[in-house]
Amino acid sequence: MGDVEHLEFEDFYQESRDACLRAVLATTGDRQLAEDLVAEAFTRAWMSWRKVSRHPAPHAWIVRVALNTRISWWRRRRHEVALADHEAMDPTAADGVDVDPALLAALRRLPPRQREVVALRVFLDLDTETAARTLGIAPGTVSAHLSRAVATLRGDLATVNSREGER
Amino acid sequence: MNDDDVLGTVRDGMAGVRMHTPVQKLVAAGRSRRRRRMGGATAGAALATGVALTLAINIPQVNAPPTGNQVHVSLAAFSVDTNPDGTVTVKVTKEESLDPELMQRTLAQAGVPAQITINKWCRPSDESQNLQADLEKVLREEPQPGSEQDALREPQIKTDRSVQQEKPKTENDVQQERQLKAEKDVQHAKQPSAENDVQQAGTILVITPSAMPPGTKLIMGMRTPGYQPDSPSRVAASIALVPDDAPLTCTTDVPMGPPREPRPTPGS
Repeated sequence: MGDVEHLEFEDFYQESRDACLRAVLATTGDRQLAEDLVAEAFTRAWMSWRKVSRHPAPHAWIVRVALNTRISWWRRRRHEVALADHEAMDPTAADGVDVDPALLAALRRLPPRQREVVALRVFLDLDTETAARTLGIAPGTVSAHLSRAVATLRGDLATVNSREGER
Repeated sequence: MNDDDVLGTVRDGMAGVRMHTPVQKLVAAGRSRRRRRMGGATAGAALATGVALTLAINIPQVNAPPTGNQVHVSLAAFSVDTNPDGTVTVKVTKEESLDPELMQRTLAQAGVPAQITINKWCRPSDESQNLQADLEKVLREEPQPGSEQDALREPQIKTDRSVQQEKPKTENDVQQERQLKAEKDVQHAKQPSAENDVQQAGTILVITPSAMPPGTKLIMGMRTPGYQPDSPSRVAASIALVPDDAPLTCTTDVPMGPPREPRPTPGS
């Protein structure tokens, strides 16, 4: 990788890392795991930067790779093989204090596909078409999932707000 | 709350989430993986040739290294070398930077199925699946000649032998001896001033893949320098031979090694 490409990658990382992390966190519900997965996806992006940089939505590529990696890590864990770099993370990143726990709980209650749609639409700001391409589903399905997710979240978040109001 | 309010609340609730991993770490991981891939591609081609030759001459031993498959991998953390007699020499020099998965793959290429863990030690849940007698045929430990580790390990060997000569063994003694031999615990020479030298010197293991019964693997747990420094255990690595599908029980506590006699003083 040349110097210019390296700078491009660094710029992309600085610009999109937090959004990607939030999207993956919204889907997995696990703060430390989300950080590990996003770091792994960015590492793969660095390795194939020429290809990834030409992707129409590279941050969506990162999230898709992170979510796919989650499945392969889960399979690997079953064989009791330690994850490379898994314990080398910043311990302050794992405390979860930067996340609203009620919101995380509400997201966890959504079906996985609805969580993915929310993650892509809200945190990556993808339009319906791009979100549909990223997830490999029809645009109409994306809209339907988002609509159901919003309806569920509205009920859950309203309950949380009213409980907080009573205190 | 309309739809935008709901989505806005979700967005705001995550606003404090920030990625902590520095970009340099990702780049370093990517670079090291690239290097590994290049090494793996070369070794993989050699492995494919070896497998083809093995099939052609119909050797039934599942774990034997394929004929002509010479693995010579030398990294900062470990090295693996296939010897002309079919044995495989493994040297671990830097546990703290050892990638267990990479070492597993390298050993697999050399015909040694293994499961490597760092600061985690596994044993078969069912002790009868600890293939002690076979391990004796599979594994030989060769401390580097003249190294401090060599000198420190010597009393351990003498202890076992002296027990054999002095009194007849009870059933209990035999069990204990088998257990200690089977675990093949490799001990750290924990002399503060010499610790780095000892780590550099490393331990050399010679593995005979053809002696491994089909469907078995080695499980090797290694300890990084400084891990659980207050533990009285001097064990640096623990190795056992188990069936592939044996359920394992793992711990992050350093296992206790065999008891040690005090070092003999000069002239005693």
